[in-house]
Amino acid sequence: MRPRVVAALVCVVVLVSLSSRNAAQGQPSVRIQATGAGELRSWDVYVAQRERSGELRLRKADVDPMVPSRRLERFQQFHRGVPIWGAEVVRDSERGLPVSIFGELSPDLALSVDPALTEARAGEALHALGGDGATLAGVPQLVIVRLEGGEHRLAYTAVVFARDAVFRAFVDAHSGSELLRYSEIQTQAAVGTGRGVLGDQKKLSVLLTGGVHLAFDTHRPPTIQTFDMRGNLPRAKTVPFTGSLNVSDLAVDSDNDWTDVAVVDAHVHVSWTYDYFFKRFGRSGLDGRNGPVNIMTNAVTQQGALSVTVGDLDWVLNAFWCGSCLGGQGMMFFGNGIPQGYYLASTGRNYTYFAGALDIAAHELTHGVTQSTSNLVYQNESGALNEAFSDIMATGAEFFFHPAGTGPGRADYVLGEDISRAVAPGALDGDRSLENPGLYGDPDHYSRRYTGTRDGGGVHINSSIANHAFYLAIEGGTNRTSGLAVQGVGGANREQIEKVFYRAFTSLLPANATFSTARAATIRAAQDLYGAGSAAERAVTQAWTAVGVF
Amino acid sequence: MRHTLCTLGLLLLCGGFSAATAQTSAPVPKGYVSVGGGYQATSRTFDDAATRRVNAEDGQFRARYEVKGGPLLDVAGGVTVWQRLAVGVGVTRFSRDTVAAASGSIPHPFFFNRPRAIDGEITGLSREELAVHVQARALLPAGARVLVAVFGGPSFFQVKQGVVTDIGYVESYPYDTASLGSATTTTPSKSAVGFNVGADVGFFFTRQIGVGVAATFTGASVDVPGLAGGTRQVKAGGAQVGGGLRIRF
Repeated sequence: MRPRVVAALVCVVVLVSLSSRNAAQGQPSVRIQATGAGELRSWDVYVAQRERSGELRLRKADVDPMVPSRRLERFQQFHRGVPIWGAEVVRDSERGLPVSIFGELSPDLALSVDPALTEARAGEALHALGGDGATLAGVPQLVIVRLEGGEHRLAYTAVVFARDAVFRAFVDAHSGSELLRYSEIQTQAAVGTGRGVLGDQKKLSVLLTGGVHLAFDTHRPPTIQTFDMRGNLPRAKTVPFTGSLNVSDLAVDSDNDWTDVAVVDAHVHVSWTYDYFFKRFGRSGLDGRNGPVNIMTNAVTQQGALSVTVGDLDWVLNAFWCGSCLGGQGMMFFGNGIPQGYYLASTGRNYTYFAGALDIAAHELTHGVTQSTSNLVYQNESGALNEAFSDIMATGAEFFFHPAGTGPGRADYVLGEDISRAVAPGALDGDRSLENPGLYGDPDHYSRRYTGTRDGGGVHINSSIANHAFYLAIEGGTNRTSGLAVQGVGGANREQIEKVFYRAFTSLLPANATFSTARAATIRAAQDLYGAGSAAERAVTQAWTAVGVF
Repeated sequence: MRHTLCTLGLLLLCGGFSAATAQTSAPVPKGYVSVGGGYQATSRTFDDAATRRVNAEDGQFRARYEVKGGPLLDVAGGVTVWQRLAVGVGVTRFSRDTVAAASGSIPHPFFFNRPRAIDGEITGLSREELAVHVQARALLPAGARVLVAVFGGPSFFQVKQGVVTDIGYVESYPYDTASLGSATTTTPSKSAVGFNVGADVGFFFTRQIGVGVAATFTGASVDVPGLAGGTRQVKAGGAQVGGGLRIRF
């Protein structure tokens, strides 16, 4: 070979080598941030040219979810048919004209795309990074990865499921050495399933994080979280009142098929109640501003209930709202009731998980709504109205989600019938009736109201007077005490009466409202919403008159 | 199909020979070239469907594609190898934008058995067919100016078809409705062997130059990626008519 030819060849080799090394070493990326007309034109031409050459390939074309008239296109950059990890261009267009183009592309590379490692060998190298028991998600993918400093390397990548971590790893396609890894653990909205107290299957909105599912709603605007005290009554009695609960207190499930019936129903029924307020009245949660909704379950297990002291029975045989808990955020508590075969002597009823009744969950949540609106003082008539509003909204929620009927899982005018079952002879299912309060010993007429000091002046007793007025305004009928008939709006129009009571009780009533004020406010609300002389106004007026409230 | 084509080809050849011998005609050319365009008249539709777990239930996703007919380019040439029998190669290219009608049934995140329907059009897809046709061609001069040819043979198709591999949707609280949000698309290039049969009539102004018209039917099937991650069979080719420059020598 002639010396001149050899010299030329050496030069070529050196140049190619430099060029290759230059490409593999750090080079600035091509950054595209085009929004102006001029730069959009030139970058659009750039994208079109690169698309024709195959360097850019359309990976995804979307209707712009926020601006439907626009089309979003996402292009993946390739080098000799191998994708460059993360190198993309996003073009937003309207009627074929680009509106914006953003991208981070790698510079022209002179990188070989022939790996020394086979896919199987690369898989072994990736697998080894996860240690014993590790698995790979899918087969290794050949890519070009850009490292810190801009160096590009031919690599294999896969997601590695290690014992204590989930990460994406990249190994050199020639040597198998690790180039890069990053965590793949990201929180994610999820929908779980579970069976409630009545054995019905429900969906739960939960949070997937770190491979487990938490009872933390990820689909609704506010934070709705369900804590599981796991039978730790001392903790349940102190922490919500003095401090805050931790993420570790949240109810958790590994396979997202939830089996704790108390957790399932508490989480779902409270969430449904939020939905009811939103869809029926446009209300955003307890405070109207999507403040957090906290729920506590399992303070005492059903078996544990048999050994609690009388003073702790509220944690077993009750559901209640604590407005001052968790630093004023408020919290709902659901007792787990007592085992089957046992009943409360005073009522003749067995009480199972209180969370199992949608109307009880809605009742408690409504106390939170009242607290942030009219804040009806919880004694005497205003207290009875406070309780009545919770019963009324609870009934509304039940009819909103359940088919009308009698018995478990049906919408009716009995409170708590899904979890409060008659055992002793002569006992009744449920705790209160809006249709016939007298069945449970509650007054159906103002003349029969309780005037003693027990129960805060009869807040759970006299509430039945307003409850019955609500019932009569919808269904119509005759009051058993006064004998006065009411022409209701009918079940198909129950929404009208629900809205009338909602407006009056959240917007118009003062904190010390009386039954008489409630009458005036609901009539006014009916006029506001449906006009003077409307069927709703007539029904509400007749209903209050029938129950003896003027 | 192969037997049918062979039989058809033999009949055409035999018929051509007998017809040619019955009249006074120009000599059989030693070879031919045709260049022209045409129209692929056949419209193709195909469907794809997939089931995917969404919100703890099975969601249904569907895509229906329609590839309408359109213009094509056509070039062919060959040489006579025995009496009136020629062999040659033709190339056709067909390209057309296509639309996919996407639809789906999306389970509700809060309730069982309350699916929400989505639908919409996915644009920006395309179909490209590049076919190389190997042809046995009977050349049948009909008088001094007319050359009739019937032909057939295998075709080698390369088909690029834009397909939807995933359908996304948009929803927001309270999730009573959902709408089509996005579509992940890909344009795979697949090869297949098919067939072609047809006839060509050329009218020559001179001994060598003329114009002609042709009617052809081609066909092949390729497998492309589908919504479920599987494959979907797509038919290519179809009835084609065209015309253009004809050269004989």
